[in-house]
Amino acid sequence: MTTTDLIIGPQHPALHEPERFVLKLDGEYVVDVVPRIGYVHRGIEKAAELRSYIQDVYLIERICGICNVSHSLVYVQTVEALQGFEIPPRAAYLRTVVHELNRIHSHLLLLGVVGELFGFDTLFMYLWRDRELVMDVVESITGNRLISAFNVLGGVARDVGPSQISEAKRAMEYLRGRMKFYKKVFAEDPTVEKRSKGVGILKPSSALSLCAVGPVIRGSGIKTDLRADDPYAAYGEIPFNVITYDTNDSWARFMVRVDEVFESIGIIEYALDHLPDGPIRARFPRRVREGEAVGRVEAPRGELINHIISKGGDKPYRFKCRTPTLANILAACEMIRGGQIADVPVSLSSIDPCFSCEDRLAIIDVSKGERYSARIRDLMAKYGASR
Amino acid sequence: MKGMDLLIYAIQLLLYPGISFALAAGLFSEWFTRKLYARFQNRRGPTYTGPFGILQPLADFLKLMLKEDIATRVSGDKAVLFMLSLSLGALCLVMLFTPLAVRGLAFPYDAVLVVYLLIIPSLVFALVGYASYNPFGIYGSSRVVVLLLGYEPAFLLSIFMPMFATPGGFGFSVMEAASGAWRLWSGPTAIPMAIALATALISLQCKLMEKPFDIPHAEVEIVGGPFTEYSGPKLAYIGLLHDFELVVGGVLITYLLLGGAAPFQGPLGALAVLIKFLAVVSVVTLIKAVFGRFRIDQASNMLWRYVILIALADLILAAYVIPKLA
Repeated sequence: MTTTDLIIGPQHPALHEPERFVLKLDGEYVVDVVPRIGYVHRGIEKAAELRSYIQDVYLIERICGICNVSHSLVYVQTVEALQGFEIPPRAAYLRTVVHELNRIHSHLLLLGVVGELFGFDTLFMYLWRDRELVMDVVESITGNRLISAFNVLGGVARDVGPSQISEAKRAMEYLRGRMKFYKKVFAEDPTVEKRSKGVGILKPSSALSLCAVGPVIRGSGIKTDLRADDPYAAYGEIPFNVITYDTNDSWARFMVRVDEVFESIGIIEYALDHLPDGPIRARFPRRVREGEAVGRVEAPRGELINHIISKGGDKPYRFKCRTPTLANILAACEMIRGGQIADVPVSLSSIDPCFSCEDRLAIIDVSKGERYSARIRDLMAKYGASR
Repeated sequence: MKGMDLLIYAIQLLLYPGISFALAAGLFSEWFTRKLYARFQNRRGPTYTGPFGILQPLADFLKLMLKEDIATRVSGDKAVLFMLSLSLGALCLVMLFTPLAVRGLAFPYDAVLVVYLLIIPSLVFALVGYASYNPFGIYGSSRVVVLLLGYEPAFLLSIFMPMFATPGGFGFSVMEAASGAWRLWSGPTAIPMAIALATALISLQCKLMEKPFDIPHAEVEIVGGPFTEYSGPKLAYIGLLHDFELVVGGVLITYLLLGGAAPFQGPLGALAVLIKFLAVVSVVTLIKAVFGRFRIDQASNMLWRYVILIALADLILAAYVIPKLA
């Protein structure tokens, strides 16, 4: 069978980050897909080894703009585990609140993007408008809309007052009403149904063998959530449900996120009601003792792992970060196979991709029918560009 | 045909209701659609250029026209320009067959010619994609062709319906059918008229490649589809062609299915035409705002299984069943 290659990315309107997928097509149907990752390698892991533990907080939360709180949280937790350090209970609750606010904004962002990928721009506009509300709450609590360095070693950076708490609770109440409407849209709208039900099937067995994480594996009916399985921060004391859907398709993965927003609203309200008194941070030493630690949190996209080796001193000897999208990329390829071109963006977005090297440039000479690749150095030598 | 007649038709083609008028009406309709679409989505839409941003489509058009005309080495550059101007001309010519023309063209069976002229832009949308020799363009074009086989028959059947239903024989002239369309809304023929209006609006939506039928240029799937390789003046012409299709399709529905100026005459009639036309454009925009994009198999399924069959049954109902009953 002859197939046609259709290339998605690294510059493509469906993906807002550089990532390349070569689709092998038979008509409108996708026979196979070859992913190519690594376009935005920024050397953050190496950079973290050159900076002190305190500087690394600000570096590591910049790995991802959307789930920055998860990145800083897992980092500070890992370093605290290395030192055997206990944070004050009020700090643990505040970390939970901001972590969940981050999850709500991330899920709303993704659901809006999904609307855009269906071609449902109106849904996108509405969801992103309501997402602004969460951003306002995040700003009032942490001091910034997005990247705020709220989690610091030994606790959190800022305390909340009664007015911020009541403002946040009012916003959550309003958001719950809006989310009921969006849940209805996702559950009943004909376009959403047509485009996502039965699209991008990931069977539970494949989800397990391909090591999918987060809402992707929960959309395949497997009940796993680090917040419940291995509680960190204040999750051990807060009641909430782990959402699963068992239709195994893109629709299930979207509905998991819709329902998780309700759970997050509940967690935030509970945490704000039961906020313990006391200090918000304890003094953390500049030098961390020798050892090795692994930390993990449930980021909006799934399990996020940090591995830090310390040889004493004020800088980590080795820092390693495994983001959830890396774990989900094989599952995404599994979803895409056998579907149509039109399903590709939907399936890809259902893992909520967040793609975070020396690249070669392919040159095709049409008149000679040749194709060769060149490095940037060769091009500079050929065209005489100075460095 | 005398020399004087030719001159009159040439002036009509160039000024009213031809190129100049269609350009103004097209850009206005585009602004109206954009503004309305934005309001549906809780946005403001164009505000900057001109009062209420009304000159924004013109500014966009001029900006594209002034850009460099780029063509890849393998694309059929001249052919694309030829096809685009041919289809713009074809749509301007259709305007001469409508009651909008000062001295219109009308002869028996001119509706068949109009249908041929209306298919040209759709074919051209497919051909520009093939001519660009780009994988996204070729996939987009094949999608245009698949849809075209569905919506063109449906549109044709819908606008032929009043001609079949007009009492006193089949004139098959657009002018004649337009003058009798309003009377069809009274009595039993109102039912087939309403059905034809619905199928005509759905197939117009598809003809304009608006949501939920914007499958050929679904940017998240196949980038720009047939238009991927085009920029500058050619993209301006493509955008203009889309606006012309909106105007011509809207005008045909206004006259053939909504009765045009009736029940008024004179200036009030012109106002009625404008309001009916804007209503058609509003419905197109509303459908665009409340739907996402269908998949190509879902769209062709819908067109073939429902829209065409309903339009055909409607035609039979209007032409044979209702006259028999009456």
